[in-house]
Amino acid sequence: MKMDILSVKDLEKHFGGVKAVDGCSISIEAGTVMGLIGPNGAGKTTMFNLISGFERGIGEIVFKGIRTDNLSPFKIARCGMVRTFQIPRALTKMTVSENLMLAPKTQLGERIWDVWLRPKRVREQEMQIREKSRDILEFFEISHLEDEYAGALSGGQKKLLEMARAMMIDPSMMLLDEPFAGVNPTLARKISRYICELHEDGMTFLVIEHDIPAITKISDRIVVMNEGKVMAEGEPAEIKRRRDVLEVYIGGEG
Amino acid sequence: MIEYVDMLLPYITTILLISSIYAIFSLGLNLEWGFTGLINFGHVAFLAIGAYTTVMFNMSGFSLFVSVIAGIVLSGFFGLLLGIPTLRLREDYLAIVTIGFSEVLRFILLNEQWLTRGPFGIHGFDRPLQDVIPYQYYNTFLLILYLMILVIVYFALERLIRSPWGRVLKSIREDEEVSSALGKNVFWYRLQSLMIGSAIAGLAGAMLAFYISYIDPNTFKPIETFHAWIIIILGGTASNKGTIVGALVFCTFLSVTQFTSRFLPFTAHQMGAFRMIVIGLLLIILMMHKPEGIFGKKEELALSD
Amino acid sequence: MQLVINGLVIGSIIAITAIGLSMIYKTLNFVNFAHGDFVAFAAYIALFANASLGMHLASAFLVAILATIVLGIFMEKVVWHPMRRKNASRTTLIIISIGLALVLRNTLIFIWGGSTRNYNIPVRRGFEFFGATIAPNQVLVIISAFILVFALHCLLSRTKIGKSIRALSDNIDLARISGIDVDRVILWTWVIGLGLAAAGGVLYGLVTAIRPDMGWYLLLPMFAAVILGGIGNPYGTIAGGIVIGLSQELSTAILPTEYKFAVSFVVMTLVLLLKPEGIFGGAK
Repeated sequence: MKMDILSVKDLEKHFGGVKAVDGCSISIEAGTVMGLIGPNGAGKTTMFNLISGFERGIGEIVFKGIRTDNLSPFKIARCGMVRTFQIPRALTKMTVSENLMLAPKTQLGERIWDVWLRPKRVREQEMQIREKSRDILEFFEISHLEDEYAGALSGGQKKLLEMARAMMIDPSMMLLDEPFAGVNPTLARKISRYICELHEDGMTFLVIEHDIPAITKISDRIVVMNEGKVMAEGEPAEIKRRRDVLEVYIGGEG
Repeated sequence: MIEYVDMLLPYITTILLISSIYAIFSLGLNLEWGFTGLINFGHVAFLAIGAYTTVMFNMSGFSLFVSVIAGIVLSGFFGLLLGIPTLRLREDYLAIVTIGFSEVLRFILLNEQWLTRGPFGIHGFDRPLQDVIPYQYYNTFLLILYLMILVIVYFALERLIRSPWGRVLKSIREDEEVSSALGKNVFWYRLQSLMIGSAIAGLAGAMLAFYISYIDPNTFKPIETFHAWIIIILGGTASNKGTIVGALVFCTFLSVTQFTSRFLPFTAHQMGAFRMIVIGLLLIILMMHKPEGIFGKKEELALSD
Repeated sequence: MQLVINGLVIGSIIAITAIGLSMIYKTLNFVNFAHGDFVAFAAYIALFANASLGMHLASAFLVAILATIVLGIFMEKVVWHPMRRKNASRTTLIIISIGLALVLRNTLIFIWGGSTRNYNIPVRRGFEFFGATIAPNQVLVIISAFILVFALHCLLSRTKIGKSIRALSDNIDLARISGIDVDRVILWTWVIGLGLAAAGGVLYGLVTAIRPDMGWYLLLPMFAAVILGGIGNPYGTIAGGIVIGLSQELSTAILPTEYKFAVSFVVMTLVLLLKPEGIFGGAK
């Protein structure tokens, strides 16, 4: 039996009187792609915020055997879980390469004394990080943008940049918030190819998505949320057959 | 002609000395505000801590070098203390707490006479190499020393902000959620920035004490903080070069207005108030119309908004 | 007992002046560091009307409030509104407010000098009350503060503009969608906030010497009251003001008087450390 990399138990979050997430439990096996779908307002993004530590709720979250529900976001990121944002948040006043080079953990040059007293070691490590960032940019086919300011990028390019930046911290799990939204079909195909390739290398994904055909194609399992609750979970083919899921979607959009 | 030079030279030396002290003082604030976005309205407190610690350590028998280090360390430590309750919260809390701290500290300096001699101030402490350098050259010596310190501080800061450390700072200023999503401890970086900025102010405090060879609590009024603010904003926020130029321009302005005051029909009191009004207006107008500063470039302005 | 009464007097002044600070803080989302100097400005206008023009203090009181409000509206039109249009960051606004504080205070020094002044009113003997001496002015301050707070309460809970102000300070975006004329309400927030600050300033002049930096030294206690009461919560601010006033005065029983000022700093820092959303209810 494979290990669950992430398990969430009875997660709850209220905003005033509104229950955004109402007793959700999910668990994700290491090395799989899990799709998270549901109509608008189902609580998917809140779920993401809770898992990545940007919001506090009630319930238990265990990531790689560590209780993370009380950790701050930066500590969770250091455990190897990295997230992207629904609207990509590139650091626009920095170049693409700076965006990537920012990410790796435990950089020598992030410690003041090393910057002042061991400049040579810091420079060497910078070179290594730069090499790595070039490899990752190549993987995402955006090497030509390396020295552009991130503010000059198109929306789709920013999405790629965000994923590339996330890869720089060598995560064991990535949370992607609507990677296909607002992206042209060619790029969407590319992104799903990247996800599949990383998946083959053993990466775990939790992906929020509205584009049902796209998400069912890349996912191993799918969770459907509605009104803060998990209403269905299963293999993509199974979920597709469920009438109630379909109704929620039509009802939610009508 | 020679007489003019004789008069002018000490005058220029004085302006440059004051400018170099202000430059270092403001460089500390520029790290906090310009590069990290922290609003420190009590920067003068760290100038005071640096000056008083240095002087009091020296008076109790420590060597000057040790005393200055003590001043720097203690200033940094107080930066840490003030940062802990405020830096996790909204950015304006730091402004309120620091300005309060600088005033409370001044009250303590005024009232705890057993420690600080209160309003009478302290004098009679050592100055660097005072026995070696002939009196008439002392200011020139001090100027050379201070310019050397300025160069060191400048390059230390430049190296820092161009390092990965500075890169994290830049990312925090732009979007702190992204930084923390990438595993950066935002709070700790802010705290470090505040500590280093305060420690630099402490160094400036020691330099100030050596220059005027007398300190009292009223040397450290809140207005000194705003002098530093004006210097940074004049020179262009987040530019260390600009800050140094700003300090020079500002100090020249100060001493020139002291000259011209003879030609204005104001009393000394009014002149002081008038100068402060000008500074206040300048602050408002610059922030409203030219937030990148007179010498700064618009593209380099990276304030968070 | 004496200390309690002194504390109540200063506390009610902090309370009514801090309400405006709190409201502006919440609605416009920035700390107005010039707020204290508006308080001093009002005291000086009252002084000018009373001592130089020979007006009765009651009419001087009204003149001072009016003048302060006019100045506040002028600042809103010339500085704050254009800056909001430009989408200026909170930090930019804070720095501008510091500039404004410097200009205001030094204008007072420029015109009236730095020395202390007093209103031209007869000095009346205080009366004994449980072993404490109460000056008539102190009674006047407390009564006026009560009336002002009551008026504010009616304004906020009964009138349309009051409700809009509260809606705005609750959620500015929501208020905008629901069709509230935001700029008009902001103007009213300034009018009420600065009107109260001015009233507090004139009253403050009754119980203390008038100095250009009187508002500056009131700023820290006001901040403490605002943070204690929860930003944007007028009733919390009032309670916070009283608490700060009392603890300042009571502290003089054990500490040198000079450290009154430090008390509010300590209280404020403790609140920030332990319960940053404020003690009295907090801002929802």
